[in-house]
Amino acid sequence: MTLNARNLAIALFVLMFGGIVLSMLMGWWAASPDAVASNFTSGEAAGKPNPASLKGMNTLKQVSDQFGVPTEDLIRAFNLPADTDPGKFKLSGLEALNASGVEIGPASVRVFVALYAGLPFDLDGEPAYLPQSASDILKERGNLTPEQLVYLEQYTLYVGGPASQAPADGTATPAVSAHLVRSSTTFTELLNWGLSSTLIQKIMGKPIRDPAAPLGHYCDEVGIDFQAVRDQLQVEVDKLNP
Amino acid sequence: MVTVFGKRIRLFRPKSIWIRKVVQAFFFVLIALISVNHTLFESGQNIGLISYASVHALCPFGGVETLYAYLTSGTLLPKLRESAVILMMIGFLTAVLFGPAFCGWICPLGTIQEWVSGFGRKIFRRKFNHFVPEKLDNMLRYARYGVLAWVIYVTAKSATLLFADYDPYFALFHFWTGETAISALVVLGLTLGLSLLVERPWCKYACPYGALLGLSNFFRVFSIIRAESTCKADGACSIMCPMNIPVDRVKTVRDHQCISCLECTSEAICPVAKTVVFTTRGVK
Repeated sequence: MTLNARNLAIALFVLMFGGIVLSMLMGWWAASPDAVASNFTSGEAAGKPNPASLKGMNTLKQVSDQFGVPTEDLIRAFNLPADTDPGKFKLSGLEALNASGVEIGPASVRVFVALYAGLPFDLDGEPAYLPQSASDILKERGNLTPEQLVYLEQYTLYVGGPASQAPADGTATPAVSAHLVRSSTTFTELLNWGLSSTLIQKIMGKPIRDPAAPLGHYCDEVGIDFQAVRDQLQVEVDKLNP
Repeated sequence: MVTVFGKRIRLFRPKSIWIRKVVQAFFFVLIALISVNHTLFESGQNIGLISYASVHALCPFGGVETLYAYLTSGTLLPKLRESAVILMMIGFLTAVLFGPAFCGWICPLGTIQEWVSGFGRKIFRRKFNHFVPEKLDNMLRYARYGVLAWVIYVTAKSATLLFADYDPYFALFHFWTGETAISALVVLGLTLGLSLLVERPWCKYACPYGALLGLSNFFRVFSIIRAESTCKADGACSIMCPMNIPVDRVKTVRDHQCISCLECTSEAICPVAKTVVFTTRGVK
């Protein structure tokens, strides 16, 4: 059988739009952005909303309505002004408010909501930082597993860095309170001490792949002399934490 | 030829597949309208009757990107919708039947490259599309498989659409939003700039979806077949091929870069009727 251009054009239209119409009739087609998160389809949480499907376009109110997290807690967790309108503020707006150089945005809200509401969430995926205020709220609720607490230890960002904002409950590692750059110090700790990710990467000369990695381990892995970068990092830390 | 303000203007070069240009323009305008409507939707308003889906939701390659996440966790990557998976399947079906006709007839990024190439052809004439030395060109054409492997790997590892930061298709329909990464805009600029020298540079050297669909050229139902008995061997088919495939040297076009544009066929540039045809294998 031979096809000419006109018939090929018709065939492409039929396949393309026919396929779309058919999938619509079967109830499979979904192209427009949802205002709400989708539900888990299997497992213990089947039927419950999936925090992983939250998007930047979702507002605080939508998150609150669907996941049962009070808007007051969301506002407090992410250090938003008290007069923030939950019906208008979108999760993508968090990125613009973050001045530390480390991204706190919709991904952070997904983690917060999952831990707050006790819903399944893959913490081994791309890490997302949480502000100290968000971590504090989660710890106050007291329903976290040991793994989730470890995650918070690794990915809590003490915005502003100074020691005054370090955890007061004794959960900080000795390196945090002493501000000494050691081989066991992690990139997260450096960020918490106020160093920007840009400055850290400039000193290391290589991109940071895992913020939770200890500096010594990272240096061994990428072939950097730890002692050399340690001194430079210490100088910068001392400038911010005299 | 059409008459505009009393002047006769040629819209398409003679012996071109004009209907393909119309189909390309249709899909380009459709995606552009939907993209603008999506921006309006995000600001709380949108035009009725037109979909306000995001570019991600309407990209069949999004379906490929999310495949790993879908198979391992049953969820789609953030920003993607089921439509991307369905479009991916439709794209595969068309490829099995007609080869990468999606690239040659539907993909808006391919279309805009062709439009820019129209200027390049006028500027450089015969030199156009022959700037890259053949050996280098042949090697570079396999780079898109590297891009495909890289995209699948980093997407599976990060569970995010990292490729969007380099994707010229996303940049083309998102550049006005401020959400487009500079790297994506640079890739788009390079693609369009190079289109003045080379036909479809992104498709030839970097497109991961084109790489995947291109594999269908080895088993597609409808192929471009050249009848050696009536061929005048004037090389017109090879000269006209946007992907520089030597059609006049093969009986059946099995090149992984063929995009089924039909510009080499007897319906277009080949001067002999029924000599280069789009047909099922073994049928004369």
